[in-house]
Amino acid sequence: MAIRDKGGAAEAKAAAAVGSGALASEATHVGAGATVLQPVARSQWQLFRRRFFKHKVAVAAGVVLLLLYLSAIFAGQVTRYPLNPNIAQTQAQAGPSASHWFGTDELGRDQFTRIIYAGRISLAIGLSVAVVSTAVGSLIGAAAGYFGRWADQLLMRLTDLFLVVPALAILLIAQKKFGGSVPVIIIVLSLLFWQYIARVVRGVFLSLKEKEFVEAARASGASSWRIIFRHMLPNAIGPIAVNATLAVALAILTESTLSFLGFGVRPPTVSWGNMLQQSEGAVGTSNAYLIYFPGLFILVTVMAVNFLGDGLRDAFDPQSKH
Amino acid sequence: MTDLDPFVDRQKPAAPSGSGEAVLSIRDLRVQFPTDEGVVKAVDGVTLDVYENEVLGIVGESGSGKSVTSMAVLGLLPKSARITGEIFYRGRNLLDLSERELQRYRGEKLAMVFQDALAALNPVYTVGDQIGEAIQVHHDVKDKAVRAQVLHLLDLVGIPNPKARADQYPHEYSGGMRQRAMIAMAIANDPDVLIADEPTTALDVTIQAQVLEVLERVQDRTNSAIVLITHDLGVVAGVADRVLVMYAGRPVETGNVDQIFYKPQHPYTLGLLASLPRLDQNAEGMRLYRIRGQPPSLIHVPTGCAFHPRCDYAQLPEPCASLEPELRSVDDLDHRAACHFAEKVAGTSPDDVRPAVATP
Amino acid sequence: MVTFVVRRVAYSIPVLLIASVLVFGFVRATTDPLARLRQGSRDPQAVPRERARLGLDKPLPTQYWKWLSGFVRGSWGDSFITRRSAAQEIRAKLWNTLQLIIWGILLSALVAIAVGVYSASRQYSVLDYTFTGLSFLGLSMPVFWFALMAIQFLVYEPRQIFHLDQPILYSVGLHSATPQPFDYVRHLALPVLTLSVQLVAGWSRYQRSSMLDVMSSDYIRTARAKGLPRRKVLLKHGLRNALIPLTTVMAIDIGALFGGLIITEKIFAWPGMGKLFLDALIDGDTNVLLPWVMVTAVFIIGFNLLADILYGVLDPRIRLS
Repeated sequence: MAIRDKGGAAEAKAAAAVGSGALASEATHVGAGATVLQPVARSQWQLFRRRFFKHKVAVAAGVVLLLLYLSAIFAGQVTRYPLNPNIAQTQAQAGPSASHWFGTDELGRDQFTRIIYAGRISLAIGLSVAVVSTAVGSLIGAAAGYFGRWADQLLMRLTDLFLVVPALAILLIAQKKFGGSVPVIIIVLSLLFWQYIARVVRGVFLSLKEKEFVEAARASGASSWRIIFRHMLPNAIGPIAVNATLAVALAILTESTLSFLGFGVRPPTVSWGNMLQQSEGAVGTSNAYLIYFPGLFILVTVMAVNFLGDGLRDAFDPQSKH
Repeated sequence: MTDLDPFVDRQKPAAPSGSGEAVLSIRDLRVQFPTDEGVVKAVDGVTLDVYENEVLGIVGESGSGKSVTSMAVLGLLPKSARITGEIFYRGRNLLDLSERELQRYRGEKLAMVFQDALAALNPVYTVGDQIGEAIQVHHDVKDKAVRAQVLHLLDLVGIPNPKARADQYPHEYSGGMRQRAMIAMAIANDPDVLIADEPTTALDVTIQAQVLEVLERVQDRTNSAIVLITHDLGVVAGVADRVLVMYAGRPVETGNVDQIFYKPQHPYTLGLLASLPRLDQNAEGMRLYRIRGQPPSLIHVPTGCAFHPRCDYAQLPEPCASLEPELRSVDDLDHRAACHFAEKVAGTSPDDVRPAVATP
Repeated sequence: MVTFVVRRVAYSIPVLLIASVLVFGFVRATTDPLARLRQGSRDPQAVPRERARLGLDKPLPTQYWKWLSGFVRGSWGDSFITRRSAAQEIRAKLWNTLQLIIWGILLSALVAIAVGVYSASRQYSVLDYTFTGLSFLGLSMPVFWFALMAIQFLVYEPRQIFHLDQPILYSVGLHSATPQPFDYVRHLALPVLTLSVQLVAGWSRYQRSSMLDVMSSDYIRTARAKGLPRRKVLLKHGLRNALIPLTTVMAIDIGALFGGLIITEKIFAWPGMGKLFLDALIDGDTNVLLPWVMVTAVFIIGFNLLADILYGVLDPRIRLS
């Protein structure tokens, strides 16, 4: 006989397929019980990597982000001019040129330099807020989803409270009082953002709770927290990672908005948002170029983060429709 | 045949009553789908005829190509499908028609009943609306007349209280009623060919019988040809006049119901019949039979005869693994099987195939 | 359905109450209505006098209770700055914001649905990819920057290039000092455009995804099998189902807009809720801030409730269960 069969399970399936009818759609019935030797199963990580790199746009976005972060870290190496120079007034208000790629402002400061240094702040805030809010939100959401009942109710009611008031308004009120240092902004934003992640993780945990491997772990005597960390959280990595990237994007946008209104990062610290606050008056004048670049950097950064998040989502769960 | 024989149940004559011209003729239909892993050969050379007033049962497991064949007739396959061959409806090749021309045939001359009626009916429109739509697409009829016809159709398929039911939504119907409503929708314009794709699969056995009975009743009224697609031999036995057995996208045996059930000539058919549990026989000492092996990949179809890896009659490598067998008749002209050893198989009864277990 | 609505409203009231307590405490803790006075006045008695007049020397719970009982009765106090009644201020500004919202959602809904339907029916086409790219652009766009760029390129540049006396589109306020032809539309255009960018970006993607979901349903196949032409299948069977989830999303987004146009109104000097909030915040005008938060919260809750009701109304499976 040419082909070895795969044992009783397959035969029963074949019989069952005749007797009771598996309902697989014919057009997609591919390779079930192939009579060819199966390749070795790839690890989850390899599958994920393969799927992710198929997304050229997401990969490109990742590269762009990497470049942005690198230029922020090595700002001194990337820029030619000092941040606060003592340049003669004649250099001031120069449009973009070969020597000043993004021009200079009325104080003679090279805009490219300012943008790179501002990138430090904005990117750092974006990343920090995402990390903090994801960590806190995941823990709380996991606890609520796993322990259920009062923990869950508490979480839901608490987040309900936040949902009924406009977020930006609350942020502005908070920022007015607590000031404009970077760590404070990170904390304030994280205090708002954690609940989005928490709700997502809660949802994931609610559905994971019903799965057998959780019951098995419980039966073998594992403690609740061990179950949460070792068994469930790894399964929730997908949605967590995707939402974390969304948090970065939202944090960068929010910080820049707050800074633009004067309630965020305060001068002399530079951020893309407060650069625009200072250049708002340049609209309609010959200095209009001062507006283009900071906003452009915000846009490109956030877009890159969003594309990256999209690619991550596809890589974690190819079936999710969008 | 004994009185206990479950297959003797019907009063219809075995031969098709409409002679001569076939209503639907399929010639060497092949359907392929390109995928990431390779080309899926969903249908690989199907040739069949369906005549007026008969029921042709197409039998096969999932992946045998039976549904894809029927979708090809109506032109409902996705754009990625590569289709070759011919599908003749009363002489016209449907595969040559444009989408617009096909639309005129769909729902009017060629109609289809789908498997899961809850999913196949639009949840936001009433059943009456949807049946009425089937009429209004093809005929310019006033609303009142459409309504009357809808009620008449609902009554025909045995749905009680049609006036109230017509204004209800699909989720308010029971499973069997929904399926009957689908049938009503399909026959609204008196089609010549009615294709029923697994119409009873999602239903309880008792409801199944009701739905099949509706199909028969409908045929009595409309004289349409019915193509009944199923994996369930019991359904076929009760309703079909002729049968086509498919495997891996290919036809493997065709004949009338008696021939198929009592004198199968293909090992696959034999295996299918043998694996039916028999209630009328002494089950002691008998094991359930199953065809060994698994359904094949449609991308890497076995060479030669697609069934050879699972076949007890196969002689390898010649001819079974190298030469694809053609449909040929052994005794009767209209009973054909695609097997190199059909004669050998012809002599075997399903009972002989089942293994016995020695009682301790 | 009625019980559902009643239950939801009943649940919302304690939420609103607790939120009001928190917001009251929060605003009091962070805003000092006397800040201006402290800086501006030389009279050492001015501050304590004003403090007593405004009741700010009483303990917090008393202040809250006084405010709450006044609030539910409709007397919201007067703005510290303009001396007009807070209710009057809010009502006037609310109407202006409402205009932006109405035009904004009309425009955005039409565009988003059209784009979504088109993209779903021509999946992976060049236009589909283009629309997806544009959506990402819209979703990633800093609104204030878009507004500034819009002003630069749609107000100033055309005026310069064509040497116009008046710009084609206006960027300040509700109307011009002297009436111009199409004055209203020309003032409305840019703020509405700005607000639409984000709405369209999100809604069109949602609609596309919803359509794709719906179009792969079995009942679409049935509709085609009946002989319906492609367009009818798409619009009559597909769209009707695909719109259901979109309308709920839209309702929620609209609810958020009442307090969410702060940036847009600031940049375009549109005298609406957003601008009112910013001015009140900067001036420490808590008599305006508090009712502002309450009003916007009511809108958010109301529209969220509407979203749920809509779902029930539009989907017979929910309506009749």
